[in-house]
Amino acid sequence: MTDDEIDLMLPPAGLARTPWCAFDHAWYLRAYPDAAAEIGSDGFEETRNFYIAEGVARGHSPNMYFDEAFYRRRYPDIAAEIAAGRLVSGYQHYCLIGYVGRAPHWLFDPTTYAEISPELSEAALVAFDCVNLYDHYLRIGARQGRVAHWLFDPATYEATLSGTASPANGSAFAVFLGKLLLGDVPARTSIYFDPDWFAARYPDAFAATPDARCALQAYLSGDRAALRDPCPEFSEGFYRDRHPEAAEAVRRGDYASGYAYFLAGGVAALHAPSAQIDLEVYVAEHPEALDGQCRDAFAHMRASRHPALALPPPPIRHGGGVVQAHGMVDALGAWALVINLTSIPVPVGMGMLVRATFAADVLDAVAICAADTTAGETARLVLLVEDARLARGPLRQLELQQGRAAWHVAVPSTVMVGRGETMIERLQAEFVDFPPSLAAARVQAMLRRAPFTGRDTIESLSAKLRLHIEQSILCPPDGVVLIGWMAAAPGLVRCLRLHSGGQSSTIDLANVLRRRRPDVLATLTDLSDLDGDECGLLTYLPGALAPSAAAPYLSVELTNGEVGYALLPPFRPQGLATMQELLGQLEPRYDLVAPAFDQVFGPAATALNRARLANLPAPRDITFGSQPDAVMLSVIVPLYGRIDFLEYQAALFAQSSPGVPTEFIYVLDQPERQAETELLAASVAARFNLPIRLILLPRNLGYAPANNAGLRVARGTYVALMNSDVFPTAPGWGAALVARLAADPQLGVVGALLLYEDGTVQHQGMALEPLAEFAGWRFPMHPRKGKRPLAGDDLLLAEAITGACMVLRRAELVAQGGLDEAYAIGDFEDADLCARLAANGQTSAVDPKVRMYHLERQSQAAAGQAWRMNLTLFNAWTYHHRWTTPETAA
Amino acid sequence: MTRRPAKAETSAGRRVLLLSHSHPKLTRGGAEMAAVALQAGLNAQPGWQAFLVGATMDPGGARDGSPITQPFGDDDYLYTVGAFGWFNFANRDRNFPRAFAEMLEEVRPDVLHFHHYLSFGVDTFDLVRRKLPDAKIVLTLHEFQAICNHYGQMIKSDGHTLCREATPRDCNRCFSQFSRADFFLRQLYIQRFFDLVDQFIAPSQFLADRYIAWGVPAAKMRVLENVIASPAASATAVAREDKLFRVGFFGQVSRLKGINVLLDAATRLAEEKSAVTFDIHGDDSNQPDEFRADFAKRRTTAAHNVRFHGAYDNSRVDALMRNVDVVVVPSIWWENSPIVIQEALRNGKPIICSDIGGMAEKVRPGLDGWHIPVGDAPALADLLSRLATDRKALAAMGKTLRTAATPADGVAAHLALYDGLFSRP
Repeated sequence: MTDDEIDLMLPPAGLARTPWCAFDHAWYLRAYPDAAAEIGSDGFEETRNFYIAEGVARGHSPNMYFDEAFYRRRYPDIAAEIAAGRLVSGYQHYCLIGYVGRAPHWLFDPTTYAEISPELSEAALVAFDCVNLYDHYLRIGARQGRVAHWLFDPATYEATLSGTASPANGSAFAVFLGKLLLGDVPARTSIYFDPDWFAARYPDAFAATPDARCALQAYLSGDRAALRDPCPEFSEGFYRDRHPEAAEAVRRGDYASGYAYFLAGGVAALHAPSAQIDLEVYVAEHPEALDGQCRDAFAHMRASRHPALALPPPPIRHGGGVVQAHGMVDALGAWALVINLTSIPVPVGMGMLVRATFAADVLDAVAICAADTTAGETARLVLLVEDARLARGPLRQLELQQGRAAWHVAVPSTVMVGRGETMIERLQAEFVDFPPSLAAARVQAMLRRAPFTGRDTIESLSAKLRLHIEQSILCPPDGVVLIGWMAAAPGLVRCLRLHSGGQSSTIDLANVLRRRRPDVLATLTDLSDLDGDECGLLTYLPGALAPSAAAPYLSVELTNGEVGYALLPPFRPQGLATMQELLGQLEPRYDLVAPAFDQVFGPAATALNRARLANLPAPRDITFGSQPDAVMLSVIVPLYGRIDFLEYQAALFAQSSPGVPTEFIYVLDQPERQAETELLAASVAARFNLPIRLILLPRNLGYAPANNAGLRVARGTYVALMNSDVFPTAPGWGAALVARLAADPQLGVVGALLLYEDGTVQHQGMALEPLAEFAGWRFPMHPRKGKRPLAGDDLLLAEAITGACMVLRRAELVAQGGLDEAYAIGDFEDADLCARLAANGQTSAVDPKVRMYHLERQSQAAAGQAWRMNLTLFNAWTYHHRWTTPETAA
Repeated sequence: MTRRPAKAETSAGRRVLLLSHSHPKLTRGGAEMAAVALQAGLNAQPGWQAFLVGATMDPGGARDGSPITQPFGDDDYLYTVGAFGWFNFANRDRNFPRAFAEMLEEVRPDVLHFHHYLSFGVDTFDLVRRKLPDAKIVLTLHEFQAICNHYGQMIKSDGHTLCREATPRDCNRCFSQFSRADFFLRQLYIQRFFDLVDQFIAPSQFLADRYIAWGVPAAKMRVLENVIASPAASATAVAREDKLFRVGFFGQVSRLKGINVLLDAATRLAEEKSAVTFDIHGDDSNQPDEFRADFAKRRTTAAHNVRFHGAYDNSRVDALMRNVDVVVVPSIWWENSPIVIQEALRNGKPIICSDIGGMAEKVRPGLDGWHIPVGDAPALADLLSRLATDRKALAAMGKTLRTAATPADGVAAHLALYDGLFSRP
């Protein structure tokens, strides 16, 4: 070989134009350990020189994608040329001319690949910058899961890769070859081949094919004259006898074996694969074998005989196309496309799966597809994707799929991008001279729809429908909660949509939360046939609002084709009152809890709570009395409601001093009581000689934010989070709890044993247990609550302890980010913190020697307080989704 | 689950859990006083340990998530009632079974002695059986609740007609909102759980007979007097110099306790200018408004020979009784075993009572006192008039009065009964 030829045909793998045309020296050294020993180095030049000088003569391959031994056995004419010295190697032949139509590897058949990829015309290959079909397969097609050989089905192969992550570059073929090198042989790669049976039936096969690393390779790459069968159901000898044309094709070299001929076409003609099997009889007895769930009757029969085998669906065939035009149709809130398909492997139906890749977005949707296939080889498509969001960035790539056909649609830089009226005109132009179909009629009807003009048109619909949205809530940044009711005759309403700035979101009526509205039903006296029993609606639409759009509105599409528009009330003001209004809408129990929270309350309340805690002004910070210089313990106490507890608590802190230098930080979470609290704090500090640092929050925020505000200014090595209604009974409590932490670094948080006013246990640790009434979510329980405390000095370990009294190392709490503000108002923050500590390998415990009173307030079961119960459930839902493991879920 | 450390248990000692529908620290009715007296008596016995659980309907005592708490001490429990069905005594509080089982784990009683199934529910017997299959269940019957839907009094719903037998037909006549089938089901439900009781105790034979007639097996029934609290330290009699014949009434002032019979008799005696005077101890604070209005009128029109002393603390009853000559129990309902009778006996005072039910059983005519026909005010007036003039009859009676059982006797009888349960085959 000349130097030019060497550079062209054997470049380093990293610089190769196509993976099959390279010298992969790293692979070469692993594939041929004897040669590696002889080379004695792992340098590229030395290895390649060895290959050229010695390897070629030994029949070595230059990389894992081209199999020299297979090529010579498959094509005896080429082997003869090599023997005669007119060719250096099979690889040289492939590089010069064989690449056009020959098979370079026992698992790649260009004919098969072309059959399932009708899009890959010569022009298409050029457009994709591919040298040949094998190049396309290795660089693009394998990653798309395309089938290149009937005995290697990517899906079947991947199913044998138990539990491992999907292949790094998505190519099952590359993974297979890589594992083969390591001796990792899969159980099966296709329903058409049985490796275990083959190995048992032909024990000499491996000896006869010394380079074979697995049964599949021995079969496909072995001596063709040996007439070996691939599985018990097919007899090579029988088939060639029965079908001389097959035998002739094999002799000519067109097909690698009678089996290949059978799979390519014989099976479709229901040829008998062996003496014992008659496919025509089989199909008569099992008509489902030909109903499209699998490729052919032979596969169906093999699957029925071997229950362990999964029946693979027919392979996906790949076509191509070009986008002519696309754009949003604002009036419909839909995205429309006009596409020319250049190759159509199967007939085109009405619903089309679309995956559109934009610069900053990927859209997966189902489109209405109107097709004009009168031209035969090509087709025009008009696609309409309802509920499309406004895309971010230009369209880059488009993949369509329908059944067992996929189209890879190019997006030329000259594509027309329309909007609104112009897009409607373009589409209507496309429909001129378009064959009639259900889809075409539907799209055209949609295009003719009267747009929204700002008026409510529900009343003017011909059918009886009442719709009233009573409240709408904005859940920042772009979600909407709708509260209202709708009464309509059964089956009348086809679709309900929210429109905003040209995009739309469908309201899934099957999943909307329903409510009885006897107040509404009483007024609907003239509409007796209405499906109005549970006419109340509550729904949450994430991402429904377009940025900086005008007011949203609703469209109602009836099954008779009419469309009406309904107005929405202006958004409620943000804040806690709106959260309460939202959470008070329903009182779900048991099986109604999870849907209510998963669909509406959970995400909506999360958004509302996050918004209300955002962009806060800094709190005020006042110190009363002179603070100690060095502080070991920072006590942080949120104040809300019973501000007077400050007086009792401070009096008792002054008497039952913590026993270590301490700063007392009170955080007022009720801005309307600032003046009163300042006075009280000043008087308390002076009366008891207890310095007090008062943090005044600008708004009522809740337990977690209040504690975190205190944490931000705390100086102590340790922090004690305490409720305002917790009162010490003896001095030294701070020193005792701090000592517990100092003695055991694995102890993450420690608290006091808390007692009621009558001396019974209020809290000595919490255990979380699932409650069936509330979707099986876990709630904190207090064992021994109300009972007499038992004697004992040892720490009581618990799954979690209450935030009413928690002592931690300040650095660790800061590292955890403080308490999690995703929990709203006050609930579960303590359990969440303890779970985070546990995830770090740290424990939570109560010190029974340190006792304090905790005057727990009344429960929230009062009537008319549904929102409080639901607030607790919201926090339980948040905790559940954060901490449910398969074990706890069971 | 924590277990409390056990005191020394000798072979003669056992652990007893007493259950009272109202906790004695909160109310002071007869049943709860009997329970607490029994608890004190048992705890005084070496080797025995008695715990008490009382119930309350007041939600103020509840602790969120813990229906059974210990506000009063280590050996006492309080159950805050959740959801109770009064028609068939069903406990519908879904948090109760678990809390109750936890308490049984802690207490590990050998005997559970129920002084009521109100508030706990008859279905609690089943919980006990499942949790402690070897424990013995004892039930003291204090009234006819299981038999009679009218406050367990076996008085028709007109408020005064005595009822001798409960049948679905008759009960439906008293309570038309419940059908005969409903009453049949009620009986079925209650008896299904009564079957699990090892031993029934009735304070009077009268009560026992009614229950046996209703369906409780006679072999499971024992008659044992209620244990009452120990008498106060010797209360000396106040020497009196007047010639008046003092009649004492002690207890709740209510229609069924016969207060109107008493007042009518008093009016007649006042007209006859007899030397009889009446001391009425007790008040009507628990009574319905209609009665209270009527009683208020009667107080204003009552004759000068009636003095209303108002409510009294039970610990003072001995001193009060020593100031009267005779105690009258003019109830117009059956009564079971009125504590006032035992208190009168221990203070050596004869008793006048109506001639029905448990009262009549506890007062032997001519030996412990006299009977009058029930509701017969003139007969009462005649008798009192006679006694006022003939003091010798009274003195003679003083010698024949039977001695009331002491609390120690009562406790011993219960101990023997408990032990007997374990030696049955």
